[in-house]
Formats: sequence, structure tokens, C-alpha cells
Amino acid sequence: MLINRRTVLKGSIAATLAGAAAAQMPAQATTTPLARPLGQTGEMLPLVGLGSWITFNVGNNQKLLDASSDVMAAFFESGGRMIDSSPMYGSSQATIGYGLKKLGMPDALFSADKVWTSSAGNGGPQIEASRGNWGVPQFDLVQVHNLVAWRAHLELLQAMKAAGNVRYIGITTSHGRRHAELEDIMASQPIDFVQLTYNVEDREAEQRLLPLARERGIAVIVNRPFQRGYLVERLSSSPLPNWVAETGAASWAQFLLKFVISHPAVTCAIPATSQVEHVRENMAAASGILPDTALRKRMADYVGQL
Amino acid sequence: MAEWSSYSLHDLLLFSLQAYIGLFELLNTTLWPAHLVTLALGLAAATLVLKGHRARHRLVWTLLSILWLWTGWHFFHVQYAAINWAAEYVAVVFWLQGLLFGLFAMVPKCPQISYVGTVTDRMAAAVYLFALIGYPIASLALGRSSESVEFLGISADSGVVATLAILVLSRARFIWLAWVVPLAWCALTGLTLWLLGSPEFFIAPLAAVLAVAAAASYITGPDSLPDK
Repeated sequence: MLINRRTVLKGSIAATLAGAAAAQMPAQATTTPLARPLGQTGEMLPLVGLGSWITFNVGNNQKLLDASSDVMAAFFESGGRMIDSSPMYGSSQATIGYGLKKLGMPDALFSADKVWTSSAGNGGPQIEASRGNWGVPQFDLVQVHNLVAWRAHLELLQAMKAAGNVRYIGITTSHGRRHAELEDIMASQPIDFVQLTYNVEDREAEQRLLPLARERGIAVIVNRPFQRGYLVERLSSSPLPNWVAETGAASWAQFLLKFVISHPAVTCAIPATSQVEHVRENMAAASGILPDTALRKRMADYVGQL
Repeated sequence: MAEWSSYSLHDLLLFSLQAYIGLFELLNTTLWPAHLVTLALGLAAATLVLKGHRARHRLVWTLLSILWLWTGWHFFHVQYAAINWAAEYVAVVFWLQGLLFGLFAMVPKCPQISYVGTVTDRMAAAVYLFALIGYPIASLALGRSSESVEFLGISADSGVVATLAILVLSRARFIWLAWVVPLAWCALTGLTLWLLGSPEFFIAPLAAVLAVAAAASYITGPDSLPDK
């Protein structure tokens, strides 16, 4: 009976999957995660990506570099595409570059990075340095990190996009900061992506930003879906409600991810992890059934009571 | 300013405890057997001071200068900066501290370093011995693997604690300037380990508190000596 209450998202996503997405999934993928189109382009992106904040900042430690590349291998094997990083994340870019080289630069990769400098003149050289760290010919997406010097950097990114040096451009925030300014940018600037914090407890984006993103055809990347792991840690002492089992959620991590990616404006959530089993668990959240509005409310209410 | 207040201390951490511990594994692997050299130099400095060797003042300040310059370059600039871009700034601070100790070694009125066996001196000696040998043992006892424990001259913490012990023995009142960076580092490394969830977070701050307590008796008590 409950299945009938939450088929809308699944149906629309499955329909889109049947077309363009199938051809764009990596050849080595053993599963095909649910995906959504990027704005008006029709390009499909799996609903779960891979963040790199903290987890891939491992320096020159060979053991940890190899462990990170194992995580990336499992991510691509599970049908993942988007990996997100930033020059702010220590050695994460170089770790990604190491993993991509080791994996033979998977075709499925959707590379997302950021420009993070208060100096307008340093934006271009920083993006080029980041590209070199990744070892990719160009980024699929470059975002202005945390709105830092965003006017100058957006101008640069628009020029790069026009010249064919980047496919998509965007802007990011996190922790719910500067939402009013972000809203103004989304309403006035020609951006393809916005990245923001959204999870079962941090839901301010539902009020204005997510509806505006849908209205403007802006793809949405969600960071901190687990509040950097604290949500999973806190909830782990409570029982997972049995009424989410039919969605396929078998853990709190999958419960939390399904809540995030079931919002129709969300294009991709980017949990970070340093463990292979966790990346597989995260990717599995982008399968099965996505909660509908009623179930999403029940999920939020349940967590709110804990 | 309002935006900075929305960050928690945890948000300022760029790396995991696993990556931080991995840093010391890498250091120990790549620098071995330099540990034996730094241990020998540390023991030599202690012997010079205990024996009251005439050249001890300039030699010990010189060794401390080298220790801080080396730590700033290799630990912070070469290794730690790979996971923490802020380490580049700390490297500069360590270099400045190293230059200050170099200045101490060169000036005509070289700050004196003396061990005369008072209770305060013994406290300083205990802190120094802890920096030399006790630090890795304490880390092991608190769960660190043998491959990742920290040694004097290889990473920063034990060298900073050893420096504090020497500063206690230096007694000169104007030398307070040289305390600022070591004490700040002990606080910072303790905070870092605490945020990372490491049980070792209290070691360096506790050693710093002991050193300050020992120094306070020199400054305020009958052991106080004039600057030379």
C-alpha cells in the first residue's frame, strides 16, 4: 500500500534513465543508479556523487592514497560519476588525480572543482593548478567556492564556458551561510549549478533556494548530507524505522541520503567517505524507491523526535 | 565577521585523525634512522647542561635554533602542509623562533642555561626527559601504533616541549619572548588532537603547564637570577 504513495519520483527518474543515461553510465558499472537531468541539457547525473572534504586529504601517505583510489574504484563500479573537490581541501585534488590515473581515467567521471581565492587575478591560475592536480584535460564543472570574490570569478567562469574550457559553472555555499546573497545570484546570474547544505535537519534551502533552482533550471549539488557524519553517528543509537524498508533504505546513511535526493530539485548529493563499504552503501541509496512528499515528512518528523 | 562566527572549531579541521597519524608514519619511515641522531643530540645537550660545560649556553641555543629551523622546514613546510595549508604559516613562525634562538647563541650577552639542582631544575629536567623519551612511550600507552609515535626532532611536539624545559633553565627574565611560540604551539597541537578525537590531546598542554609552573618559581621565588 505504501508503495503507491511514492512512485512519482521513481517513475519520472526511471523514464529519464531509460534514455540518455544508459549510454552515459561507465562501462564498468555493475549497477545503474537513479539519475536526474542537468537543467535543460538533458545530460544525466546519478543522484549520489562523491565528496572529498577531509576524507581525501591524505597527503603523501601511500597507504591512504591507495585506500582513496579503492574508494573511487568502488564509486565508479557502482555507477557513480560526480567527484567534487576544491583547492581548499588540502591534498584532496592530488589524491583524486592519483586515483583517476590509477583507474585509467574512467570515462564516467564528471569532474567538479572550485575556485577559492579572494584575489580575482589568481582565479585562472588556481583553476589551472587544480586541473593539473586532477590530471584532466578540463573540468566538467567549476564553482565559485563559498561565494568568495564571486563577481570576478563568475565573470571568469562565464568566459571559460564561452571558450569551451569548462562545460558548466556554478557557485557554492555550506552550513546555510549567505542564503539571501545566494538567492540573488541564482536569480540574476547565468549559472548551471548551485551547491548548498541540505539534510534532514538543515532544511532552510527548502523555503526559497530549492524552489528557485527548479524554476531557473539550475542543478543542485547537496553537501553535508550527513552533517559530516554527525547525523549518522547520532542516529545510530536509535532504531531505523521499519516503514522505510520498502524504499530500500537499510541503514541510517541510506535513510538520510534518500531524504536528500528525493527532493525533486536536488540533482546530486556528495557524501564523502574514506571507506569502500560506505561508498557502496551510499551509492545503493540511489536505487530502489525514493520517498514521496508524505514519506519525506514522516522521515523528518521521526528524526526530529529522536 | 558574522560569517566566521557560524563556523565551529571542527569546521576548521581539514583532515582526519587517520591522515594526521599517517603523517607521522610517513615521517618515521622516511627519516629513520635520523631518530637516533636527534636522540643523541638531545642527550648531548642535556649532558652539557648537567655537567655545567662552559660552552653549553651557545651550543644549546645553537642546537635549539637548528631544531626549530629544521622542524619548520621539514615537518611543517614539506610534510604537514600537504594536508594543512595553514602549516605553511606555522613553518614561518618556527623559522622566526629558530632565528631567535640563533640570535641568543650569537649575542655577546648570551642567555645563560644552568642546572643547579633546585626543585625547579628537577622539574625542568623531568619535562626534558619526557620530551626525549617519555613522549613516544605515552603515545604508545594511549593507543598510537609504534610506527606513528612522535620523536624529538622528527615532528614538532616533543621538540617544543624540550625547548620549554631549556627555557625554564635559562632563567633570564627577558627571555619571556621565547616562550610565546612554544606555549602557543602546545595549545594548538592539544586543540588539534582534541578536535580529532585523539586521547593524546592533553600531553603537550600538560607539559607546557608544568614548564610554566617551574618557570614561575624562578621569576617570583628566591631562585631568580639576574640577566647576564
